[in-house]
Amino acid sequence: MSSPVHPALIFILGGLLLPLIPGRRVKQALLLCIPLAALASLMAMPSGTYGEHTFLGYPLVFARVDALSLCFGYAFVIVAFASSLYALHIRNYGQHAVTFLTVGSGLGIVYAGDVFTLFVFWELLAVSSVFVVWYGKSRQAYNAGFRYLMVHLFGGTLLLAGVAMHVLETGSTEFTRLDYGNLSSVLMLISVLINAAAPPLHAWLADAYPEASPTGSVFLTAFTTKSAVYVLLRGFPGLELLAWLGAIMAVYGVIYALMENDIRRLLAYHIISQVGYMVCGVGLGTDLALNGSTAHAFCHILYKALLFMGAGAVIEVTGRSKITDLQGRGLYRTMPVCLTLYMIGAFSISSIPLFNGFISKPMIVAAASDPHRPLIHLLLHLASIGTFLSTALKLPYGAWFGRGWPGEQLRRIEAKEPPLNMLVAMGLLSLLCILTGLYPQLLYDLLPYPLTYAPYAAYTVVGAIQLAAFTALAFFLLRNKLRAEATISLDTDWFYRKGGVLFLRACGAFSDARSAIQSRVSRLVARLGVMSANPVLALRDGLRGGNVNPAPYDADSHRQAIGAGVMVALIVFSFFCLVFLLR
Amino acid sequence: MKPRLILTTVGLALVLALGFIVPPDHTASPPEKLPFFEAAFGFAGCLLLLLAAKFLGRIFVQRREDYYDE
Repeated sequence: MSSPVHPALIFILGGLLLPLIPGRRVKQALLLCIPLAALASLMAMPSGTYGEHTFLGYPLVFARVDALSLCFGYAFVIVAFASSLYALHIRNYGQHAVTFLTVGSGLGIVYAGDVFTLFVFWELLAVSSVFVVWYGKSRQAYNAGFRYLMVHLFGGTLLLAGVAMHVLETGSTEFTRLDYGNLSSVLMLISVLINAAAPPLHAWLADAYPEASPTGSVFLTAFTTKSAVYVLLRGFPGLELLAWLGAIMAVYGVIYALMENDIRRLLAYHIISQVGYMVCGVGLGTDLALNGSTAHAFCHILYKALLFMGAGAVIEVTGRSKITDLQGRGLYRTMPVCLTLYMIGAFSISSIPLFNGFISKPMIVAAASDPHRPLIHLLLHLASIGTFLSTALKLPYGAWFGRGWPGEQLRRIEAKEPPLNMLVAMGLLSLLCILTGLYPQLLYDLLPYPLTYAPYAAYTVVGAIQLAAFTALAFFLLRNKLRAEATISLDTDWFYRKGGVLFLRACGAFSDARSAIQSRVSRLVARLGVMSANPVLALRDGLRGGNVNPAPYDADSHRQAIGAGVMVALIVFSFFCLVFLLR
Repeated sequence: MKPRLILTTVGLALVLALGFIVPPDHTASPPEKLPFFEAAFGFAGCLLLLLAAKFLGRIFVQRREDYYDE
């Protein structure tokens, strides 16, 4: 039997070949066929290890397939198909190529069976994502891409250092549960937490994702943070630190989202918040919590792509990305289908019953109450209020409905529904969100650990409805206080954005000081040169007015009279006589 | 406006009533067993998050859009 092709290889090769193939229709067909081929190869690879090679005496395992990697693999391939469909009308095939590289490296990470392979795909993911950001093709995208690159190359270097130390310490390259405590594991953990966007290492996400093109940012939402969650699930399950960090992340993200005006940046802060739930689940470490994190990653990949598609469609059609530029333009009249599909994503992320967030997020919240951690439980619960508040109420109210500021003259925006392929892609993901919400067993069968969890317990359903209803009530009472404001929010990227400018200024000051010193020293050297060439002349010129470079030698004016030499000889002679006599 | 207001009130009352009908989770902590806990938590949590966001935004987080351009 021939061995199946690694799904990452299909995306990477497909992405590289895509721009070279002639014919627009053929390219579009390929855009859809490549994810389908990867799905087929994913299904043709049952649990086990594939693609084992030896490199410098160390074994490499390109594909280790088990329930955990399969769960992420399915989510990645499904979202890649939907996102390709969403981007089908884009004629920039360079962008398609780099998005496929991103997908391929994400798949490479979740299938990597050893730490070397993991590192290679980790770096490939960082580099390909930067190009996706740069295809946003604006000054902001260019700058944000560079910041993204700096942060992730730093993270990649930490991972490489950690991997090298790990291999030296244990002698094994296998990527499995890592013992936390020694330096190698700490370095690897920091690197993974950078990619998981855990505060204070998270600012790259909200900085860069919203600057990519509307279609490109849909791809970005899925792979970097979720592959980091996968590595945490595989390497650091049950690490107490992560439970606290995750709970803080969840609340941090929603508070920043409440202050945000840019619709995609608002959603980006919700990625941080939702990944917080997953990180917290990893830290709790029980079977229920780890299953919850896996399931939530799966659901999150689907609904977050859907939300970014909705926001992206608004930006594609109107060219505006700020709530303050969109509110009161009545987009609900011109883009009702887009709004409906977006709301399905919003209900999913808010874990409203019948949508997929409801079957995954409460698992983690329940896991937090099981070993009894009241504060973590409370924080996670609070974050779900904030999630509903900004994604399902503030954003759609501002972008599709809303009113302008009192006295503001609103110009109509010429808007219509986005291209059909975008709507079909959103429809497909909406369908999957509802399907997994209605039939949770479809997803639960994929989960890696034994599971006895009934999502649709009556009190859970009623609780979720009560929570949503009264959050909505509070929103409508306070909607004027919750209005978006035309501001940006300072985050931890301030340190390197302002710090970078300060550093450059300091470098400039140092450079000025250096050149000042250098010019003084060279003036001194020049003067010494003149002094040693003709000290008398230099002294005379110096006394007259400090002319350092005297005029060229002129026999009439520069030559001293003979008496001067006799005078000097007499003075020296007299001096010696005096010394001799008085001794 | 009137019918919408009545409808909303009836809806919210129904949602609250559901909490009294459905038996609570026996593993939950005592406050969570209250039939209207989630409703109160949702309302209060919304206020709390709003206050936190407004406070942080005012003291240092929210800046003019050209903050980084200068």
